[in-house]
Amino acid sequence: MDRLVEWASIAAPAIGGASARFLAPRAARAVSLGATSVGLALAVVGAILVFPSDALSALGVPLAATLGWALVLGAPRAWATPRALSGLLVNVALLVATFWTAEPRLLAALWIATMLPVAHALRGTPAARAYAAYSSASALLFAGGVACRHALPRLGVAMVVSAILIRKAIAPFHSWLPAAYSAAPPGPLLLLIAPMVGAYALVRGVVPLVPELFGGRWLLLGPLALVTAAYAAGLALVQVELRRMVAWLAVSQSALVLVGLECPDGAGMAGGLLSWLSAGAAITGLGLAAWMLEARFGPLRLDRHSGLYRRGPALALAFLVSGLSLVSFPGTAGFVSDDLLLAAVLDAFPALGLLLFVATGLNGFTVLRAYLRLFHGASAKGPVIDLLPRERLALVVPIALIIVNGLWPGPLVRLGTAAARQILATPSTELRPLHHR
Amino acid sequence: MIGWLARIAVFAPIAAFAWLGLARLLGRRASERSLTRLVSLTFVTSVIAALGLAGAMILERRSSEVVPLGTWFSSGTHRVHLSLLVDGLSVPFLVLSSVLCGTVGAFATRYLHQDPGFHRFMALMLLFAGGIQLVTAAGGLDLAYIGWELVGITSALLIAYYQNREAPVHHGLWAFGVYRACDVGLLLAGLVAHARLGSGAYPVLYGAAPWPAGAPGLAGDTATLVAFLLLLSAMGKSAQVPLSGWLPRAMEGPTPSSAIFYGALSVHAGCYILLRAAPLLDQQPGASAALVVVGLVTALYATVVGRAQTDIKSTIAYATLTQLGIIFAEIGLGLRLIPLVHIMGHACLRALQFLRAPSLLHERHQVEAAMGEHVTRTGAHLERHVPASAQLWLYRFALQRGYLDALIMGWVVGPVLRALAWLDRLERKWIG
Repeated sequence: MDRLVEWASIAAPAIGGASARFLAPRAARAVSLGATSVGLALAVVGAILVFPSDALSALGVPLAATLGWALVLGAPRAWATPRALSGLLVNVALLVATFWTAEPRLLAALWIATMLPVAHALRGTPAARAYAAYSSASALLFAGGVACRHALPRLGVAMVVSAILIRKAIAPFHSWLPAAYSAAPPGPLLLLIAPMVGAYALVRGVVPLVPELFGGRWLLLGPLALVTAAYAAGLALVQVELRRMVAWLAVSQSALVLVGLECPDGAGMAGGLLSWLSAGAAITGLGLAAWMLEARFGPLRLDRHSGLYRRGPALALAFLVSGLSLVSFPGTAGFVSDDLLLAAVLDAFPALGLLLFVATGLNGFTVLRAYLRLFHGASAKGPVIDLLPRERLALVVPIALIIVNGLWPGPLVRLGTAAARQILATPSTELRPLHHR
Repeated sequence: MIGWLARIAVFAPIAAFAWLGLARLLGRRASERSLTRLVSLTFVTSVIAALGLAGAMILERRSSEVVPLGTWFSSGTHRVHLSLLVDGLSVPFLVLSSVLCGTVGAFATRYLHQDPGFHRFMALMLLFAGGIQLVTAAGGLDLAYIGWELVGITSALLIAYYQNREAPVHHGLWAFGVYRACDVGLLLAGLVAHARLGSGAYPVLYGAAPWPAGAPGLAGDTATLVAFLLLLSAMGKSAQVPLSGWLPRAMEGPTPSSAIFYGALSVHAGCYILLRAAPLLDQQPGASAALVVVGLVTALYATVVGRAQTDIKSTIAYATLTQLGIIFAEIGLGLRLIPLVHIMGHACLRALQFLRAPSLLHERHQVEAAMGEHVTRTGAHLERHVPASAQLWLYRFALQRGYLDALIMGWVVGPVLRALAWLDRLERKWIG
């Protein structure tokens, strides 16, 4: 039964994507929305069926499906051509498949496939070459690591970890993300960064293989991630373009997830896993809100006041709330994950752990600054062009999920704790086979 | 009974805010009239519950009661239990904050009548009221931190209330920056308490005996660290030197928010957290001495700078700061009842002064017309004792507000921003 639901949750967006390409724009959007809605429902059912035997997939699959659904619903009309929607849906199907699998070779293939849409979107832009270099390196390292994991296990792990660091944009391999995010339409980029496939690959593949490296502190992942989180938070603060600011915030949050995953105790890892979910949803929310703003008002700068509140009050509220969700404001799921994370990080990295406080403090300030610069100041002239009902729904659902789970976090924390226990208890002999359940 | 009254007093404003926020996200907008009714109902409920709580505590002769709210979440050994603590410290504050929020809310319904930001103001006011009630009635540092953050964000958003001007944004961000930097103190204190004691609950951290007695659960360097972290967080919220620069900037917000935040409640939250930590401070002479020094320096600074202010709200802000400094010193000296009474009286007085501020000139003209002469200038007897050469220097010092903002901008924030901008240029050169 659960296998059937798994395949159906992959097939729904895949079939929707294949058919949307040949339809008129309006029909393509309707079919895409139907396909992602069915896919989301199946993903949730699948997650319920496989929990608690596979808590990790139960976390990742609904996240990927929700992101796809929100992007289809919220993407600006000018971008959402049948071709673009088709690509988006196929990408969602690949992501859902990624989160269902634990087989190394399949994971490697999906790792590469899910990076291709961004390469396509970046064609002809200044960031195309850099992205090609970074993503090729990540793909080769991941595939090479998987290929040599039996013959040279240590080298294999090192290669896979390096591939993950590149994809998760951890310093010093981070520069591609802000460059790519400011050059390409946000849709494909959000699907690349928000689901955090790198975090999944790490906990699915690497932690069980070499659990002794995690919490051993010599692997340097935790310190690297802490430095990245603070560094990216600092750079987000000085950005003058909205898109680059969102990109640097995403880098910072992505690093915070990795920090939790390297903590030796279960609570820290649970915090990392919850942070993966909450940050993934919040990056999507903030990225979508920023995308909707730019679709209406063009590229926006943060070194001057745009005064957009009068022209989009609901958009302003959505931007603020999704931004506060991203920076772990009380009442959001991010606050809960950060609480778990901070306690564990201070224990694991007492001195460097303070960087986490720097990162969260700066990120909060950055979000508020962006909100005030965009929406305050002399009122922009022109008609009110606030959120459309479909856009409102696309933003309200992720935000509501983040807030509900922030106010009543018990079930989600139990899910994260169960997943963390499972990861830490997995035998360290080999990556688990496909459908190990 | 006591538990339910405490819950109602604390959570009524949060429930009203949640209702408003949900309606707004779904595209519904209440009329000004129905919003006014909701706000009035909320604050009346909160006041009745707070007064009922005080009455019940007296009638039942209870000195302290922990109201458990349950386990919020737990993972492994990390458990976050939430509770309210109603005792001789929190109940007077609960009554004070609910009464003042209600009064200022009622004032604001008229003061901001038909203002374009009426809904925004009321929503933020409700959220602030919920935040300050959480800080006040929290049974531990976890819940107090949540309230602390709510107070911080609402404060910044209300300073930047007038959307069409850019200066309020700058000032709101300045205040928020100071808050964020100092909030780390409260957050870290809570985490240290969890790490050492397995809980951030006050009865565990400060002892189960009714306030102000108690035996702190922490000792040695950890206790000293927590005491200084609490001092840091309180300094930010109560605008103590050298972090005082945000308080006059905060006067950009509408008068009702100035009254409730910077005259009455928000600025006293730092004093409250320190009073709550009395059992810990009693055993920390270093932290207590630091409190006294910070408080006295702030009082002196605000007295000098306040004399050169030319607008009424800034003058009241510095007068507030003077009293806050004295309250800090009182707490550092080991007094407990006197600062409590001082806070209550001071909060009421300042709230009233801020609310009267817009009509000050009108009233002054009335007084002068009645007297038939100008009102005598005060303070000349003090100035006579200051040498003429120092007077000019002091005047400049006061006009520049003690150069505090310039020092922070020039020596702390500026270099960091320049370094980050340089790194950003490197990043752009590397890839684009």
